[in-house]
Amino acid sequence: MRRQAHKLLGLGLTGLLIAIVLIGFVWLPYDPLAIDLDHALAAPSLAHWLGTDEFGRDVAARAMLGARTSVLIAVETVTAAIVLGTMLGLVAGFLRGWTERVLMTISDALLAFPGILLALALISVLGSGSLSIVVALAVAYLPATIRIVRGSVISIREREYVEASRVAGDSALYTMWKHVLPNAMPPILILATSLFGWVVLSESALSFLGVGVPPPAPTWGNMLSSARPYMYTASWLSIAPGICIVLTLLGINMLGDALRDRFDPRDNA
Amino acid sequence: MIGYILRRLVLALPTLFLVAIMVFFLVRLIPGDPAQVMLGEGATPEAVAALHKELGLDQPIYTQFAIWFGHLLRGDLGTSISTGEPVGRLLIDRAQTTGIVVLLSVGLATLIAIGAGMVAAWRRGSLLDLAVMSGASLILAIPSFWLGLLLLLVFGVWLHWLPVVGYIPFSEDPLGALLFLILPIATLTISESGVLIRMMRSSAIDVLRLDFVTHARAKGLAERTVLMRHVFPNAFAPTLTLVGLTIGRLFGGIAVIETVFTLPGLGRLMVTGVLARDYPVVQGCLLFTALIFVLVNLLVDLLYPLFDPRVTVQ
Amino acid sequence: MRKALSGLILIAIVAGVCLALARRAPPRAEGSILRVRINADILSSDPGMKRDFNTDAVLMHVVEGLVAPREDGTIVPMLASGWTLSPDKRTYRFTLRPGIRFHNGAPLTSADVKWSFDRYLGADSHWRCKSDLSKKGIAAITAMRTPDTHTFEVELDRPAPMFLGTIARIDCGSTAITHRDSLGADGKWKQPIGTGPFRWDTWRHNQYIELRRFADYRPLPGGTDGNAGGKHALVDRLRFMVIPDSSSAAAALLRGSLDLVEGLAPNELGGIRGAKGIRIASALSAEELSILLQTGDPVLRDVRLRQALAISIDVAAVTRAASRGWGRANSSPIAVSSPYYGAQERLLIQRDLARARALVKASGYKGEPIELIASHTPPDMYDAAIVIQAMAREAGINLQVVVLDWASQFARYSAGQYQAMIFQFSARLDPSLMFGVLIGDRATDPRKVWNTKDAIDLLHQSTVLDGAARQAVLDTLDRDFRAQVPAILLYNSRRISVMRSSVRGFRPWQAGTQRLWNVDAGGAG
Repeated sequence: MRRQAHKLLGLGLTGLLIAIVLIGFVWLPYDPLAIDLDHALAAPSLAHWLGTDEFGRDVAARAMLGARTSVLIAVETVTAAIVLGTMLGLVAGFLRGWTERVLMTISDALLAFPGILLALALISVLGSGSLSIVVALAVAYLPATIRIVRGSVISIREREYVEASRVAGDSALYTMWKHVLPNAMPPILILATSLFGWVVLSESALSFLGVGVPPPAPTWGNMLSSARPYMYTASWLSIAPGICIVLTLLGINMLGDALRDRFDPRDNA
Repeated sequence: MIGYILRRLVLALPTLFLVAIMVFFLVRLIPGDPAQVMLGEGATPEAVAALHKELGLDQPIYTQFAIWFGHLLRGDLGTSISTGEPVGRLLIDRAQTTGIVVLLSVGLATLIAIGAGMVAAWRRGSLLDLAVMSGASLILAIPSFWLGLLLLLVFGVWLHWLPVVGYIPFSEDPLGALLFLILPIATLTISESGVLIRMMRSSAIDVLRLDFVTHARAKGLAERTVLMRHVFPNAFAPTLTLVGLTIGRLFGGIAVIETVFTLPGLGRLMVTGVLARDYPVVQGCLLFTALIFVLVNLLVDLLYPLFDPRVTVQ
Repeated sequence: MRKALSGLILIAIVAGVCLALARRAPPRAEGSILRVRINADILSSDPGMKRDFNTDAVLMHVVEGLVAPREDGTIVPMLASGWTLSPDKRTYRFTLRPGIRFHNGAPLTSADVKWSFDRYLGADSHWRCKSDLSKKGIAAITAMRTPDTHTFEVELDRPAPMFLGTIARIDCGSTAITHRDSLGADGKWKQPIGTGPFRWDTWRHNQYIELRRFADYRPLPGGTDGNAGGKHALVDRLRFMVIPDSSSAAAALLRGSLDLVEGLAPNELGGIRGAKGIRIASALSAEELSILLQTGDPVLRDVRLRQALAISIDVAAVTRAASRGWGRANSSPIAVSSPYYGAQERLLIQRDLARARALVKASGYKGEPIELIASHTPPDMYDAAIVIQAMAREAGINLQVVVLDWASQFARYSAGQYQAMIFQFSARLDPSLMFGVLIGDRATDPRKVWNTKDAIDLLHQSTVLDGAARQAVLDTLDRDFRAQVPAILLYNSRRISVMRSSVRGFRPWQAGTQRLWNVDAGGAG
């Protein structure tokens, strides 16, 4: 019963996020890029529900637009990391031997790479923009994905139906595709939801450090970053985007938990 | 045992070598010239060229790599372009700060996770369990730097209990230094405990279901003994792995916390190094954090058998 | 459980004992001390060679040159008591002030002056002004003579009214005269032995630089006047602490572990402004925030589009927003604080949206995106970019702000690889120097945005004229600048310094370097 509550809450919050993103495509309370220097740093009021920032831009509108950007970046990053990571993890876990050794060495080397270095390097090559962020974050989370998929595949490949398939003469590719992959899906799905949360956090951290989506486009991360000098004088600027992140992640994590419950037969007590 | 350790270290070498190459070339890929940045606006091209020569930046890139790598093999990490200090010494100084914060935070978070996770698993389904799980979920959703900013706001500005920013080197005044470290350590402890609590609880639940626990209870052992002597050691292994990964990750990834609390640690050293294009510093930092990663994971793997008797150190 | 608990208690006891033993009482302070802040460690203690802004500021307390700039930038004697100029205007004869000693007790002689000059102009030297004092610069030094111990003669290859201004330049170490014992036995630089009111004491890298009062300093009459004037060391020790983060510095000031924080950005004043025991002082700086335009770019090639951009901007509003009201709007490359800032320079470009739109249309601009590069350091740049983008949008100009980190932006600036860029120029006290940053042959120096032959000629004229004639040439340059719009000037910043109320005698000035002579810590050390 408590589990139901969790699942409902998760669905509810995620639904709210999607709703806000979709609404944002057709309606925003103000133009999130419009500057109004006479009303800069206004506290939340009826006119501006979440107040205005240092340029007089409406915080609520920016938060809504930021939702879209953050979600888009997260979706793109997670897709890239999951697809690539699954492929490489499958190959490493199934083939083992030298293939696995090489892949895991490269993967470990990537693990040591901090996001900011990668992001800076990519921005210089690809130009500043969400593409660089997506690639940087996808590369940053690739090693974890590879590791987890590989771990899963290693135990799956010992199962009888996989052996049977190999004995029957199926090619490795066929076996991987038909037997291993479907059984590895549950942990991959759960990983995807966790990843989504991590990516939103990482994107905001990158923006906080000054390496992020270019202005004036808002993301929750760069809103938090530009709010820092005004922490004492206009605290609503740092509270609004922070709460957005927290609620989004709560929803996603709860959804992930619900997914895990559904896929893990042992966990039914 | 010694053989195992040595073998692991040797196996780690290709990884470290790969990291060294990747960092070296990647950081030079970013546009921006350290000599130009140092001499600033208005510097003549001749001055910049002269500084290039002095720093060895006028050589072809492969030569630069060979020179750097050669020094590296002799244990010389080079000198910082910005300050001229030996990189090795810089790393050690900064690593002390980061080390104190990371180790204390992760240590506290682990203790909290063990306590909360075990209790939640033991009293599964109860209100207590719900509270612990909700708390962990909430913690997982909060960006660590935002938490840090909030704590600063509350404890530093509104309540005036703790200093807002600043730092005193540990060697100068340990007690005073700790005062500045309370907020960052608190922030990091809270942030990292979320996922550790969940992991601990999850594996404790798994172990509590096993037969030998029922046996132990049937034998009449006190519940506390069952929990601490039988359940915990067997349930701790996955959490231990996570702890190892976390320590390794934090050493390199703590830049944001250090920025919020203005601590002179490794993370900030790397960020400022990248921004100033201080190649030797960036290279040194990355190698150092990679090494820490390898060592911590090795330590975890060595400790694993202590907690999970099914696992042997091959 | 019990074992774990007792284990924890044991650890706590041991830790406590260790901490108690390790804690040492702070060393006793001897004499008075003034603690100030620099936002990055200095690059070297060798004046004018490997330097940046902070390096200059610190070294100006230790070393001095023959001449120095006053508060308004005009050149007056420092180590020289005066000079004469030969009728052909090519030879300067400096008379050294009597009784001046170096920090090591040695008396200042013309041989020391020649030694220093030789060192600056040497083949291997990286002296910042070396190319200025060469054939390609304002004049080359053909001969240096020391007729007696207190006379120093310099012969140039041509008349150069800017010669004195050049050797007085703070970014060139004010061509400081140092003693040869500044070098070690191996000929490498050890530490500066100069003639300034403070002597070099300790440099703990990335932590602080400490200077000590030089007891035998002979100050000139008068008070603080630019880099010249009477410089009295009122404290025994002067400590420059390296604190990169501004909020850390502000917090340290509030707590009392710092006496003075110089050069805060307007948006960093948040927590300090009304605080008790804190005073704010400021001075208009010669630093300029500007928009550089690439006149060779296919989109920006048409001057009408550039003019449209210039008049689509409300400079006063940008100044208010980006500098939080501290800066002074200025459409001229000549700084507001310069004596050459006259009637022509005072004219501010007014916003005229209607005319801007008309010009945009006339230029045939079709809304192509124009990249405007900015960075977060200094913070004004970013704020200005956002506001300018919004203003230009109303005129129909599509600016896309690209935020780079400083090193990347600087690389693009140095290579001329940009369409438009917000750039802050550091303070230059001489108007020809300021124009010189903008004017030049772009083919050989991609940093120059204005490369018409007329501009280059006028610039050259401004370096060889004086007085009213010079002002006329500068006015013409200013007029042409506004007509051709190779760049758009926005404002001059303000140097803001925050200090404890007990600190007396500190005044920021237009060059920006903090001057701690004639400054008293007020016993709060």
